Amino acid sequence: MKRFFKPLLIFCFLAGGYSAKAQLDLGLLLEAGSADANTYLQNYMAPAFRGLGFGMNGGWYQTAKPHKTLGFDLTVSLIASKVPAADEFFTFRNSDFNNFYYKGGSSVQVPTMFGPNLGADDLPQLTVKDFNDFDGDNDFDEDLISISAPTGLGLDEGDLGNLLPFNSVPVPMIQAGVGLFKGTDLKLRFIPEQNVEDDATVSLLGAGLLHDVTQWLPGEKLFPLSISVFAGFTRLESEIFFNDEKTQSMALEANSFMAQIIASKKLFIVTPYVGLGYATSDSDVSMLGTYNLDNGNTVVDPINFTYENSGFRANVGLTLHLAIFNFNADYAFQEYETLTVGFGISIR
Amino acid sequence: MKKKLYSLFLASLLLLGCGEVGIEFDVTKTSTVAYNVSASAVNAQPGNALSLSQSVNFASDDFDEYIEDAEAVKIDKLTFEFKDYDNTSGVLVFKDFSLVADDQSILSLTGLVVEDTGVVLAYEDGNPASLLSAAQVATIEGLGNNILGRQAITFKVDVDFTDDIDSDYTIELNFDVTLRVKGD
Repeated sequence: MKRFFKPLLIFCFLAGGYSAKAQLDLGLLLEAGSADANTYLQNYMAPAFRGLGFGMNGGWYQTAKPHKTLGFDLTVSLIASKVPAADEFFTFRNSDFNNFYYKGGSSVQVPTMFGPNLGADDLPQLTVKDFNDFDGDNDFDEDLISISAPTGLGLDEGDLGNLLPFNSVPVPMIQAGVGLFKGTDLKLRFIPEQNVEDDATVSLLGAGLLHDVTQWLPGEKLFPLSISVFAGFTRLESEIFFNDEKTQSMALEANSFMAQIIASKKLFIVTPYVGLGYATSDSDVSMLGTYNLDNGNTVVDPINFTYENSGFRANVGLTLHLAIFNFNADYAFQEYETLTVGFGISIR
Repeated sequence: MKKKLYSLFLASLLLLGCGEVGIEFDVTKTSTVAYNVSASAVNAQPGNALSLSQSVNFASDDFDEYIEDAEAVKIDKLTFEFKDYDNTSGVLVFKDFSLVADDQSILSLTGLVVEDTGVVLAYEDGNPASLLSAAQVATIEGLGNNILGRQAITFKVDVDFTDDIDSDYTIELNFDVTLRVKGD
């Protein structure tokens, strides 16, 4: 169990912020079958990856007005995806699991990783059956061990809570924009694959186009607003290795896409704007590699699940212009509402 | 620089920090101590009395992965079961039964019929229906500290029968033990 425990602890830590010990011995669950571990992890981690998807669609623009040709901007943003109260817990249903159940009834509410940080007295105990007949009595249904459901991390209570205004998934973003022609900006997000001390890789790629449609409207000069359309996608890939041979890892691939119509009006040194459109995102999370279990079995790529989000997105924002410096705040209304604050430079 | 970039990314993805409670959880497991009562051994004794002893280390046997971070240990429940007795003669035999842990009594019963009993509740935390005296409950509660200190506990059962017994049988003691674990 222990040799399998470490990668799972790392996985849980990465996914859920655990430190020295995982509450839920996922190695045990995986020995029982990866289906239970997949089901639990997918529910437990949902707010993180759903929030990531919503967040990746933020920070694309600070005004509807494009640059002049070869004008450019460089913007750094921090996007906070607000986790809805309903996603702070999920319903653990015994019927969803094979070897793992709640003794006190057919279902129970348990925290997700973005739920409150609860002590053992406030967490329901979940029980693992003796699926592998460890005691050799041919009773596979008897209880093997009961363990508290994993707590939420209570992020709004910890250090991060002091930085963020609500329980949220923080997503940093950096991008550049350049004016092309005919009122069109190209927005780029790019981090080439980075190796982090041979333990992990991460890369980011995104592109968007902002096009001024005011110019195509009759009476353009008289029109009081800048109106543009925008479409952009972002792709994030990361892999974190559990062993030196890099044969065991956790991989994340997240994609987001958004299309919007935007209106803004510059008023002296501020530009208020609104946007309305549609956004989608998906995140695919995998635990890759071959793992030898203590029961003699081998599992290959035991964890894999996908999250998908889509829906209408409306946002309002305000950009403050001080010489070439821009300060921006934006709030988007969607399933996971997002607050974006950004800082950057903008020329022409 | 790469590390900073990556850290920035992880800061968003991997969720920094935790609330005030931290990582705290309970692990509960039923630890079983079983004794095989041999009819030939009992019947060979002039007074049909038998004493059996076992040293058990719950910490290393059942909670090895958790004991290092445990901050409290509690025995929630003690049940026992006499099973696999075959009364071929049809004669009722009675017995006195006692259980001691590290030389301190935790259960003492007299006048029991030798038969299969099913699972019998001897003690449950918070349950007034207990076969234990206050002193025995205190001893049970104290055993949690032995487990926390990773000490083995020697359980000794003494059975004193009124007559020969017909068959071998098993005495099974089940301890529901809960560790309160505090993560780093």
